[in-house]
Amino acid sequence: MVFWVLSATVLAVLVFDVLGVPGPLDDPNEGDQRAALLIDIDEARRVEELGLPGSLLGRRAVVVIFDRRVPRPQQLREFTDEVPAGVAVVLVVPQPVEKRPADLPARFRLLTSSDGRVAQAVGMPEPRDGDPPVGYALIDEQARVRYATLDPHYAEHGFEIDIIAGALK
Amino acid sequence: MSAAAASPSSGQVALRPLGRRTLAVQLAVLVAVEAVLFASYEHREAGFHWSTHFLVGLTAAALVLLVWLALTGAPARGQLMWVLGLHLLALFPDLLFTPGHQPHDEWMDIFLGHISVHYIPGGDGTWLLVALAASGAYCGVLSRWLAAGPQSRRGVLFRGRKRTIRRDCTPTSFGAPAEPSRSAGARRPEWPARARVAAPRAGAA
Repeated sequence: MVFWVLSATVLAVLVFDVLGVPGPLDDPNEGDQRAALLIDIDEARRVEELGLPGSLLGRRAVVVIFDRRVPRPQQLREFTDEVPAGVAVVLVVPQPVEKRPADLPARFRLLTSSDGRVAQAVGMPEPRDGDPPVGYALIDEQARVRYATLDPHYAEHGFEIDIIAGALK
Repeated sequence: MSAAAASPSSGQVALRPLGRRTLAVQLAVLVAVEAVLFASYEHREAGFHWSTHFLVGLTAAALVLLVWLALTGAPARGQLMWVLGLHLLALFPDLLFTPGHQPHDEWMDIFLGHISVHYIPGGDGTWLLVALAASGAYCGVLSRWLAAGPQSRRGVLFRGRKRTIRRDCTPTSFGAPAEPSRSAGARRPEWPARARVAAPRAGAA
């Protein structure tokens, strides 16, 4: 029983202290965040009329990134290195950007959506703080939303987009 | 665990899985492998996935060990290896995801509910309570089993049978102070008469 008490203490500290509690940008339901679970084709919502820049929808797979501001270009460069070459990248921010940052990777298309219309259309979850989401959605070549998740650190998780986008084919 | 239980000369095969050296080796392996797994998940900022599947594996292991003890009347071998084995089973789809480039799918619930376990209300806090309840129940039953006399240490399936005994002990030495080992020059104890009679001769009709 002593062993059990010691183990229980270590586990409790690990779960509640080391791993920490979800932050304001996280999903209220942890299970839905970065679940890596594709939406079934039959249940996927179609977004042909979304109006993304470059008329990408229906021609290429698109990853739509939602952030509250334009991230540092260095972060984005590391991120795009991991996203497959055939996948278009659109960055959606809530506040208008006066001028496209010069060092923003050329692959990024910038879109402003102050009313949350794009996030709502692709079914992005609402974060705990109720403000605009930070995360991404994956739209396949038939303009169906196959994946949408909050991920406050999406720039470090390009490998996940690589895996999930690879399964869209 | 009593000192007699840990002693290699205590003579009861049923107590072998609870030997101190056995458990210490298993604990070292468990901690080492879990540390590597935890670091791997944390590297991808997915520590909460590690903890969910570990707690599910721990719960499953406690239930398996509890049922085993109840049915056979003896603790299962590889006590802590059950925790590791069932944790690896529970997280197997994650191994398919990162190295295997295979996204998750509903069918992966066959791995101890790999998908569904994340949707329990309360998340890891709930799983922690469940795992501690299950493992605490097993530890409690095991402690009672150890404290019980040898005649009481029988399971549901083997009710009425004697447990297997080692050559260098007799049923009466069960739970008694450890006998001196043969290497210490002790006389070999008498082989129990019952065991001699019970051993069938080869070719006997």
